[in-house]
Amino acid sequence: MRHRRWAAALALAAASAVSAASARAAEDNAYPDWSGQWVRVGGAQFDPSKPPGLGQDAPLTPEYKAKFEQALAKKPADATDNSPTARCFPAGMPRVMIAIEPMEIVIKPNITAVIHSYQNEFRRIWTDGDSWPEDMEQAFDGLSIGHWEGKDAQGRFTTLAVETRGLNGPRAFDDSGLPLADDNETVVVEKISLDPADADTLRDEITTTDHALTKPWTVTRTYHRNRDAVWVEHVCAASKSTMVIGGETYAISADGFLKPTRPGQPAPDLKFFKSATGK
Amino acid sequence: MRAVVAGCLGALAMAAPAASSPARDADRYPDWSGQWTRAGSPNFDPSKPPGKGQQAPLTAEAQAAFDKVATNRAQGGLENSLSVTCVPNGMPRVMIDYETSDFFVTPSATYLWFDFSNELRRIYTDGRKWPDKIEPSFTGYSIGEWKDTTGSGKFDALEVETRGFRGPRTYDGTGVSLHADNQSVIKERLYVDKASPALLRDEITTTDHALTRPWTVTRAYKRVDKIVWTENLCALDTSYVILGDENYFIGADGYVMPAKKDQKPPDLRYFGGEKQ
Repeated sequence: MRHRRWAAALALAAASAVSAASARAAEDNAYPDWSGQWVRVGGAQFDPSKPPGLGQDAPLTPEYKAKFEQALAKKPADATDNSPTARCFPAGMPRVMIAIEPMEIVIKPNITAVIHSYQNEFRRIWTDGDSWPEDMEQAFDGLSIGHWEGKDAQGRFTTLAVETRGLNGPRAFDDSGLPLADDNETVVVEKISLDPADADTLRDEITTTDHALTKPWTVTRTYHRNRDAVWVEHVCAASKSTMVIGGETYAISADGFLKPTRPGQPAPDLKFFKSATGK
Repeated sequence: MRAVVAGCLGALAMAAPAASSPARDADRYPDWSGQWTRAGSPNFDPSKPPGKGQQAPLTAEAQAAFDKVATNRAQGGLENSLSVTCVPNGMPRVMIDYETSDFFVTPSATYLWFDFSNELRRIYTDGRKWPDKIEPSFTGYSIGEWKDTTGSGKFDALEVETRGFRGPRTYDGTGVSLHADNQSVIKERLYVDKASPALLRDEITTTDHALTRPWTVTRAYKRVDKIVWTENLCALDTSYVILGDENYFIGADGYVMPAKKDQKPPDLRYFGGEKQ
């Protein structure tokens, strides 16, 4: 197990949760109602307004564009290439905000949790006024610090502005394998708010700055509220259909055996088995 | 994987917790925020030794199945230890809390999130009744009710009932199974120890067709002073794989290795005449 230590900022976050109970009740009325189940609107490509793959027009550097074209050329023969979720890795930021499956948002004064039903990815967005820690633990969903902005007619905040850093990898923007840089120095800035004309529509304006990009890339994703939620468990490992052995990706058949993922793929090397090697 | 099961769970069905009108005053709820970690051993009943020492009230059939698992383990196998291949622990095993956990208490629901393999429990406290159909899941569908046991006007205990399971599930790492029919019903009482406010306790009573009677175990969790959230991602770290009915290791160089002495290699029936 990797035991990576998150920074001291989180300890401070807990401390700041201790506030006068009466003040807490008043504060609770200051936040918007984002309860319920939020369901993705639009395609599963990162920018839902554009076609997938190269059609996304992501501002990739020449180096990463070449890598992406290489990955696309291998598909679908090796569908897991550069698509880490196929190996049950988390989507991570910013891909998790595609919300492949529905998500829930739980707002408390010091923290907002974004809970994704796909693999239970759990984002903590700290809104306790703390600053960035000096030593940040890497995580697929990073460390997110946010603050509330704007007020509606009832005096409730309208917009959650978030910045996320401290990311782990490998990550891709979406299932096509559209890459983020290997250095994991991504910074993601978001503005999340309800549509002023429709309380059941939520938008997330996501701006990604990354060394795989020549400039910040802004994409807006939309979610529709389902107020009568049925939550479905999406456990990647329970339905895992591929695995990597010796650098080759193999399928796992319905009866639990290894299968090739491409014509002519050699069987895995069983060099550690006496009966396979004849030793 | 997504088959919907009937909410009426036959002989094991129990009365839902009385669904009083939900309190709306946030001041009434306890502050269980922060981070909690397991106190005691990772045996399901931390007061007893592992394996047979747990003295789980198993049916004869379940006991025989566990004896077979124990024999496999003695030979180096990992039979009935699905969590090593990243399948969730589910209820009630997730309440062992192998790493750390987080409580989000809101009037309508309490969320328990476990950083070990990202397991999530939603405990609804909005006064809802059991739905006609429950989507089966490893952690189940939980309905809870807050209790004010001292009459102080503040809630201090959360009583929970959980149904609607998916499997396979085991109680702990030794491989004692819950019944394959997944009709378990689990009742809990969560409260902060009045004598030790940094300790949260969970009295867990499991009713299951693999048991001759309900089995009650009490676990405890320590509040962590200096919060350290750790990303424990099984998929990144696991060294195990199950192929057919056999478990194998994945070595550091990425190749399949035997998990026990003289183990046969994986069946490569789908590779025809490809060179091995």
